[in-house]
Amino acid sequence: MIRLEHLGKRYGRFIALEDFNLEVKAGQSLALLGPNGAGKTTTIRALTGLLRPSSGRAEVNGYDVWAQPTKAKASFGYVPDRPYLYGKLSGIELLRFVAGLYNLPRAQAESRIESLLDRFALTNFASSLIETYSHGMRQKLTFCTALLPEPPVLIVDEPMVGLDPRAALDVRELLAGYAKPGRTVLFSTHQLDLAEAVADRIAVVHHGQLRAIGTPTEIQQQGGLVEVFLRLTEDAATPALGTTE
Amino acid sequence: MLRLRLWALRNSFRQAPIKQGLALVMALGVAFLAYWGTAAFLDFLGRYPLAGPSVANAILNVLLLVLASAVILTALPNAFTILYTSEDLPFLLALPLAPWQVFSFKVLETFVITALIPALLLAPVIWAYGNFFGAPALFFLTVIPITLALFAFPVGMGVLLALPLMALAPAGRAREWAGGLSAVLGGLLILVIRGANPEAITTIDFANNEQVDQFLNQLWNPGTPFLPSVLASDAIEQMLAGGFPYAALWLLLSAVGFLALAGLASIRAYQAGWVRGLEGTVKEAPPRKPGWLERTVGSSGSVGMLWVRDIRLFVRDANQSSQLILVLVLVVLYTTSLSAMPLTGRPFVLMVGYLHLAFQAFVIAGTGVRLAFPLYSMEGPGFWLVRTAPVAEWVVLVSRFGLSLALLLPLGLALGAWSPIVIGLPASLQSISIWAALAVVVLVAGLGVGLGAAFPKFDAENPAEVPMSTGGLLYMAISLILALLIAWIAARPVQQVLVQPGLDYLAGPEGLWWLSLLGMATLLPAGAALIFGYYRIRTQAS
Repeated sequence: MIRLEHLGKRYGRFIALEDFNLEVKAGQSLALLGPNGAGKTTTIRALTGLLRPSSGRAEVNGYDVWAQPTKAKASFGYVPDRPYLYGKLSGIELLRFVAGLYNLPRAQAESRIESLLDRFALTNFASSLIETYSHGMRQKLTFCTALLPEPPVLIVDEPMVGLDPRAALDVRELLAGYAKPGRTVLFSTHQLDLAEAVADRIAVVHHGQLRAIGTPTEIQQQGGLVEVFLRLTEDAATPALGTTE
Repeated sequence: MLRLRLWALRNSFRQAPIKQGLALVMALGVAFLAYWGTAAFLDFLGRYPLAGPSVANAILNVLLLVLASAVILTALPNAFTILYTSEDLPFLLALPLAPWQVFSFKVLETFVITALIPALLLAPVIWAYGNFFGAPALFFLTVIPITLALFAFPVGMGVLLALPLMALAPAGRAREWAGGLSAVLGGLLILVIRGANPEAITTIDFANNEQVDQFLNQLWNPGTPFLPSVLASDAIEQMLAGGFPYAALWLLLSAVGFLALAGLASIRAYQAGWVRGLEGTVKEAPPRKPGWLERTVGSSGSVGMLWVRDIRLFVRDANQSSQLILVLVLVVLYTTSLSAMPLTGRPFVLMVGYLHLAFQAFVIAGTGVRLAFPLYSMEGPGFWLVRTAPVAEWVVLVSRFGLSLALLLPLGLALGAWSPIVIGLPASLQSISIWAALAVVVLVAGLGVGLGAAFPKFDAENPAEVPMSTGGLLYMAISLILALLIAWIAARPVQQVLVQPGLDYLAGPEGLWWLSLLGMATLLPAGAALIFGYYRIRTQAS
């Protein structure tokens, strides 16, 4: 469902991403883990068509994101780390706008919108302008926009930023469960416990390179995620747990 | 606080010394041009000893009034940004400083940021006056405090106007209301200046001594002696005459008092505004059914939904929608100015008609800077939502083009259809005017959107900032050249109608060729700009 092949991104001399290879299959969820500036957001932005890679290719659901952008983009829903939403639209207007961009039939769109608003406890505020929403409400609304077209792939950049405990629990359940019916989830996070509890596999990124990838059990065998993370994100070269799948 | 600002200024200069140095040189260059231009103009007026000094005095009065009024327009949004929403305000208020100290500093900051450039323009103008009239040395030093004192009033007025807005505007929307109010005030100011009927000067019979005396008397004795601009003008006059500048003293004292009053008022407004900010929590509003916009315009797929979004954002943002008022003012100003011309005799009507055909292209191109060029950039920080959706880049570009057409068409039709009627052009040239206006609208929409997409500025806070770039300059240069080309194309039918009265040019043998030429002159550049914009979007996705 997601395939990155030799993905690279350079800004002059600075290498943000280097020879990045990764595959996430249907039914799997993968957590991209790394310190600040590791290259997680760059990877996600190249995968979602927001940042043109300098080399390599990114594929979603069998479509090259840069060669067949509309087909690839119809296959994923995306939640950015700092989502800007149009403040002068109401929540429900924004969701209808997104439904229009995905050309969802009206009746289907209305039913999905109703169900998502209910799921994220936004029904009572659906017609309020987004500029009056709290940060957490905006984050939840962003999840609604990503899930509205029922995409086979969900890509989330730092999902827990600004969420209250209740919303954080909802998102944790969403990330854990979304991949199970044959869909794919890729999310980036700083939170080691979230990655360990939710993801089927964890990829550790540092200095724009994939340092390690494995299941939580494999990582546990290497001394636990905290130990592995600290060891791999030190600047000295460390042997990787495994190779990219 | 002042030291903090000076450190920041020094650091920004150290960080980019060449850029900052160039900016300084440019600012000094502008000041020199202002001085040189005024000196040349005064030399010219000096050739007419009877009317020259009176006219020079009247022009200085008008300049002081216009600049002071224009400063109010920028002072209001600046007052909001600096006094109420600046990011360092919570930090400064958390320091062991009295609120009056913080707000006095903030009022001073508003004053410096708002009045610096107008003062830079005005002081050299007054120096040139002093030099021309042989003013004493003290005059040249006193000009600076007088200039600053003059601008203290509009800045104080902006700060005070922000007060009721802070109280009346819905929570969180005061700043955009300020922008809207500024646009409305700007429109009113233009209409007031227009209402002064400046063309009346052309109707004075300078051979009639009584009329000339009355005119000169009016110029020397303005009807509103308590206006700050009149006080400043009086102060300059008193200093030029070598007397004690009572007016300057009064101006300076009242300026300081007015700014202090504004500072005190802003302390109270900030506290009220802060409370209103806390009150601005989300209100319950359950889902509503799709509105008619979604059911009609939105039913045409992604382009329709993009338009629905754009219309809603435009209408709900007072800062944006108020621009329509300025466009309306522009149309009224343009047509009333045409109707004020003494249009006697058919050749003169045709000549003015030709000038109109040329001018309307410039007016539409000028409006395109604000209504077409920024449209792609105005996708702004929310663009991620569209760029990660299954919408092709060309769809976004075409939707921007359609929107700019919709915004510019009413203007094009108003100028193209209404103005020829006002002038009294023959029917044949009326249809030429409409076709030319429509062609320019398509040209400007394509050129603006295409070049705007090729040189986007997604981080611009408002559309007025977007054209301040290489792309904006390119748009202005190309649209100017093409407007001249259209003026050249329009010359042929006017010339034909002049030599053959009653000719229906478009129905004649040349009509179709003329329309084809007009189409090529507008559609080709518009299409080329859109293709260029599309190419740049495809290759430069960051």
